[in-house]
Amino acid sequence: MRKANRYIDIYFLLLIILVFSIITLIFITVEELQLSQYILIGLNFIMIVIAYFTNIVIGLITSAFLVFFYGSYILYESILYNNTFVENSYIWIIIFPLSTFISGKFGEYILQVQEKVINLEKQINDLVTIDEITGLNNMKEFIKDLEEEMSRSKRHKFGLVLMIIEIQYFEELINIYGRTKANTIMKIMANLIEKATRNEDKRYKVEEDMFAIIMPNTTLDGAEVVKNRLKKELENILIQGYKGEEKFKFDVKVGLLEYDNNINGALKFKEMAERELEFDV
Amino acid sequence: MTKLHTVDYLFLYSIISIWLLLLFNAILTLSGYMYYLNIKSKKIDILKELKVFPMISILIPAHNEEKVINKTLKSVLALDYPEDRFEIIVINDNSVDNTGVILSDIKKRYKDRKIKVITTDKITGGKGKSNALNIGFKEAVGEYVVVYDADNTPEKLSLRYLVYAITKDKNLGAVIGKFRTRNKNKNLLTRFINIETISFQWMSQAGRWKLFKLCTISGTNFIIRKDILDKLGGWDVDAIAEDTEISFRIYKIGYRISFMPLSVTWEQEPEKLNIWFKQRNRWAQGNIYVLIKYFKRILKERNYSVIFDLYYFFSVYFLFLSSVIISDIIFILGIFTPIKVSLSGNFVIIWLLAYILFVLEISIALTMEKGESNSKNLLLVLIMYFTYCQLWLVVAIRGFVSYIRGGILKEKIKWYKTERF
Repeated sequence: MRKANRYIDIYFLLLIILVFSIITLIFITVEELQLSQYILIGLNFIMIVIAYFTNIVIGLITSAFLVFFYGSYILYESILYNNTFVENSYIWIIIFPLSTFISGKFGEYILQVQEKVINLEKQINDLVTIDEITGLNNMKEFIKDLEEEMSRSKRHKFGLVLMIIEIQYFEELINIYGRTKANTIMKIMANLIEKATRNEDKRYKVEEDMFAIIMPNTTLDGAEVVKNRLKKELENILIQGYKGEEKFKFDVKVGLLEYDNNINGALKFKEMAERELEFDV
Repeated sequence: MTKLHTVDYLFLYSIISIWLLLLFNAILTLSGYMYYLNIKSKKIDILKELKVFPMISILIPAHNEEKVINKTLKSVLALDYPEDRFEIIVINDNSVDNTGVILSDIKKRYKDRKIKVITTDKITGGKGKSNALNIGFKEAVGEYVVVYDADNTPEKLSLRYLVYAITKDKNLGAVIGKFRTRNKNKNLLTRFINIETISFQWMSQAGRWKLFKLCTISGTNFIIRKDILDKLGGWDVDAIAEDTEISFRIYKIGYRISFMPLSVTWEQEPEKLNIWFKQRNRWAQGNIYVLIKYFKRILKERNYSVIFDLYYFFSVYFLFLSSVIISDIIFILGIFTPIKVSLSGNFVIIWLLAYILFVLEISIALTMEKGESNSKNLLLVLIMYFTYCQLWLVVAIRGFVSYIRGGILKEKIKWYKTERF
């Protein structure tokens, strides 16, 4: 990547130097800009664009044909009309392939970097299992762990409860307090959840406004106790602000569902637990 | 416009024929690249896609090849193809060195493999590659015949690709694979040869295949139908470029020859200039033989592939060569005598055009070969025009002289075997 970056710089500079040289050349040699000269400049810039957007080979092939036709034209003129051409006509034969080469290379390295960035982005998405705001595990990890716990509970006949916590009016929360403050609130909530649950419970942030807690070896009654405690704590949050402590009031809904053998699949389990939210009024 | 003299007409002739060649090569490069894209987009999974394995006879003519034959046979034995579906026929052609000993050694070591060794002496053999191939092909039992030179290292899957290509199309009489330079990093000469072989194959072979559906067999790494060989009666013993010659006869009976760049063999190229000269001289002489043999009948010819390929060789050997020589002579005359071209104008342009197009086309061909499009090779291409390519001119002229001498003095053309390292 670093190498490609350096080459991008080099070829960009070369391209600029080339364009500058072409302009200088025209200023020096041509007293009055003829149509043919103007067309040649135009063609050259089209070539630069083609080579940048396709690839260097297509650029070179196009420039080979352009060089060939232009050369043939000069040849034809000199044989039939004894036309000893303006001096700079030769230079175009060199400038065409040179500009396609430089811009083709420039495009090639930029493409390399772009592809690398896309790849890295994909890799990161595949690898990241932690929610960056709260430090809790994310959805991907949640599904994996839930599958695991479900089969464990099925085999050993332990109770397994899934708790879903949804913060109400989250959009409005962001609108009122801003993204940064909303994030701080989420962080505090995550801490509270961590404190209110047992060590062996697993906590996740599954969606932007939703937490999930997997509670192994738990009955619905036991979970109910945790739920009530959590609700009370989450609804009143204190934040250290500029003007002392600020008190926030939130509306939180909690859904609880115990696992039974008829539920197949973690996603299904989560969906059913989410439906329980409706009854928490 | 002033009145034109003979010298002007000659000059015009040479400019126009060089111009024609430039155009032709630009088109070849374009179609070569198009064929490259075709092959790339196909994504053949050769291990899964090849399901029928016809019987194959691999011929390896060997004349004094003690230095290379062992490694060649080992790589041929290692080819990824069912062991019972191919036989190897080595023609130990009048060797005076250790080739025979090495061959019987290998035969002993690989008892369960199908290896035949045919040994000839001064009377039955020693008459060149075509003769050796003819002897070998009489013993062949396969449905197809594959030829490898004695210095080749084919890649494991190369045979599969050849079989895949020829079994897919009934109109194909033969399929040629690609050859690469094994010793390309040895010295400047082998680096030049490497660039030359790559661009020859992508422009001339791939380009012609894409444009006109024809290629010329290049002596090694090719597959050919056994029944066609039977029909043709084998290789022409008088031809020293037996590969070009048999290609012409294959087109004549209405078959095509295609190019399969995925089948790759690595061969050793000459590392010394004098050996290079002898080898290329043989090629040039051989090609001129074929050209003249078929040119006599060009008017009666109905097969457009033959006509086209004749034009191709004609333009390379006659048009180009004569125009370069004529323009050089005119240049020298212009310096030392009062004979001058009365045409005025910028003729440097044709030279510049030729040079720029040469560099462009070779660079394009190099990008089609993985790892060959680097700054070092680009530099070599820039100087190749003034060095390596000029040597070819000498080769072509010498080829002509030898051919004409052979015709007048009825000298028997001797088949020169390239020395190995």
